Amino acid sequence: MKILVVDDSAVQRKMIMMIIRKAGFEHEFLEAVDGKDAIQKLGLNYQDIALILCDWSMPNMSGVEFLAGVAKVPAVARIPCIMVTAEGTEDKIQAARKSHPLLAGYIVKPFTPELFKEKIEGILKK
Amino acid sequence: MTDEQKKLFRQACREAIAEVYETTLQLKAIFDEGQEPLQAAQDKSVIATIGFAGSIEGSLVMIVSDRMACGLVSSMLGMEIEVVDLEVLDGVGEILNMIAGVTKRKGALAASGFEICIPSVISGEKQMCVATLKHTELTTIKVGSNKGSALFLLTLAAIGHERRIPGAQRKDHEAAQSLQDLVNDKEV
Repeated sequence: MKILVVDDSAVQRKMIMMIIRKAGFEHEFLEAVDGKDAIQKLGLNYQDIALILCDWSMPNMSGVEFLAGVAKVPAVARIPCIMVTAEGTEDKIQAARKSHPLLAGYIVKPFTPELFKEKIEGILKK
Repeated sequence: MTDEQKKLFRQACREAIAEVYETTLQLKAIFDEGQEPLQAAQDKSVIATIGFAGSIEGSLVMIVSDRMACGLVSSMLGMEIEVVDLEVLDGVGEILNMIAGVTKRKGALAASGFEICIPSVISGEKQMCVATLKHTELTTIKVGSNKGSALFLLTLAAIGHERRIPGAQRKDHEAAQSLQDLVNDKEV
């Protein structure tokens, strides 16, 4: 199974993948640089995707717009999604949950590897 | 924005820098309270800028030497980087993005209803940042660490209207339609 990591920062994607690997998960990764790119990657690979990790602020299409789109398509809506973003105010968290009612988690940057691991452990199987 | 709110926001920014240094960079931020006159950076440096729009109009700028930029991104990725490349610029932008995000969260008592823009990063020699907004107040925050020093410039304008982006309404239909098309193609 694969994990789709959506973030316009290549360094942030690398950090996330590094933390997941160090935590002992052996999933393959798919990377997307914005919401539009994520649609392509998800649409072509949705049957193999175990988790979507998505940033909020990105050019072209934001993470919350992408997740709202995901929530409307039954074939992909059940894939667990976690928002990983520097936007940590209560109104933003509520807006993210509104965009995707089945949102599996919300991680605010900066995060420690321990916190990140804790958030994904309940979703991913090693 | 009152003087008290600005003071709270500036304090939130300092706390945000300390938090990001500690959590992401594993560094202790040491704040130098002395106000330095602004001058062009003499060494090759990396300058990242992020804007605030809405109830707060302004920006936060981060200036570090090339060496410091490489050191910070090396800490993020746990690997040695010696030359400023696109990855280093991207990493410095991400550090500033996190600082702006934490500032917004910690500064919620001072101001809400504003958005953070996507950071932009440049590198080069003898760069100079100048605040151009009317009625802008500039605060310089010098931060030391065992990897070197960084200079942050926080500009806050007194004006601004609350701005809220109403969740996802602009492109979610486009996203859903594109996804559904791809799913349909796959299932045929």
